[in-house]
Amino acid sequence: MTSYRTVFISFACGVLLWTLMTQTNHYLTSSHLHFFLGGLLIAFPALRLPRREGWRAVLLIGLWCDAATPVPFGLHTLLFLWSHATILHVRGRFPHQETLFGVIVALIANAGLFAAVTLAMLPNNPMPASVVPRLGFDLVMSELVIVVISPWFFALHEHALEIGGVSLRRERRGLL
Amino acid sequence: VPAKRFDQAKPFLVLGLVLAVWLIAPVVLKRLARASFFEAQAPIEYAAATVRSLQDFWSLRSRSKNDLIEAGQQVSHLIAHYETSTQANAALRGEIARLEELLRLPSFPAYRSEAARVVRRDLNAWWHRILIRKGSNYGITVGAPVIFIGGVVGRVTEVGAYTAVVELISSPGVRLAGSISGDNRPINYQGGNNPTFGVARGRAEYVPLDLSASPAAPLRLVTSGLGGVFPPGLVIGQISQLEAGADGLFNAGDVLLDPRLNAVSEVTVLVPLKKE
Repeated sequence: MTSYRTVFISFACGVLLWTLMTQTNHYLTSSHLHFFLGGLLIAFPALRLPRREGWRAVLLIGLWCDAATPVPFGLHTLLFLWSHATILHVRGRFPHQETLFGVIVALIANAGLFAAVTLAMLPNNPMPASVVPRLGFDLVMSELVIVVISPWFFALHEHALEIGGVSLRRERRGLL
Repeated sequence: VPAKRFDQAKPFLVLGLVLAVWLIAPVVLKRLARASFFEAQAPIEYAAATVRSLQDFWSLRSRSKNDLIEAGQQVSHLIAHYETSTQANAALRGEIARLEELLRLPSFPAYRSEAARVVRRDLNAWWHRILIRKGSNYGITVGAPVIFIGGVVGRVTEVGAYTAVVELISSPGVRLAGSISGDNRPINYQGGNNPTFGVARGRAEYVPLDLSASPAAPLRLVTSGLGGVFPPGLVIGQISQLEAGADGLFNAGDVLLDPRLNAVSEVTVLVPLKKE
């Protein structure tokens, strides 16, 4: 039961971040500026949650993002799961509970996901060379936003889990 | 050691398994999953749009009575102007119908106008889309043209129960048939890449060589009616400069779109009345 609660809370936090991101982007359209925070969506489940719960949460977040965008259905899901698997593979070698490490992982994952979505969408663009400055600016701004909001989002995630009766510290010690 | 290695590779094995299941999963299942998540997002979008409307309402409430009286006077002037235009339009429609009958011309497709509020704008380097607050509950169909006060907005690409997605004409890769106002030769319009903090723009191709444009005397690009999606005469944008195309047979140039397109909040969907 705790497992499903963990997945649900993590997914709800992801949806909250996605909503805030889309609303911010809504107001920024007249400036032709867009924030992409895919890396931050998966950083916490990949770094802090147990493998199975994190995987399920990332799967749901990926499907949620796929439904809201005109990419081939499953693209975000696949990329998010791939990033999740990669982070899981290496997280044991690093201080993955540290917020600073979480921010760095979110930044790297975000840049990778941004590049992957760009590669997937580039064939639809008739003038791919002229879109590069815009892509670069959007990516830099997105990374800056991640640096600013990551600590808040990690804390929110952790507190939401605590409120929901899921203690990550106790789970790590094997008390639950 | 092999058990530890297997444990480390487990996430990738699971990922491979998911990918295999996804590839063999029936299309119906994928569509169902997409539709479920799409519809699940609608209440969130709707709530956010309602909060924005409430903000507008309370900001308008803070205006003084003098401002409201002045705005009311402006609206009444506009109504008087539009009433005159409506009468002129009715006379012109009658004339068109008479000529169509006399010359036995095929009639233009008929549309029903459905005004809708924009719930969310999603404009980035990959795509330009908006979500509107009406869907199949108002009879909106995929492919229906969408217009606003500044001309063409785009066309409906996806319809949900209560919302619909519109792809904007500024979206890279969008193509539609246009012509210069007062000239019926067809021109190809294509959505372009929009620079940060710049004006939305597209690209006009296959412009006849005898046409020229300058910032002082720009050409007005309108829909040609070819292709059957958009009625003719709707404004797409302005061409302020033309250069010789790569083949030398035609000109090409940037099309400046209405700046209000990036902040559009109200649109009209032209729902076709009869299917061809």
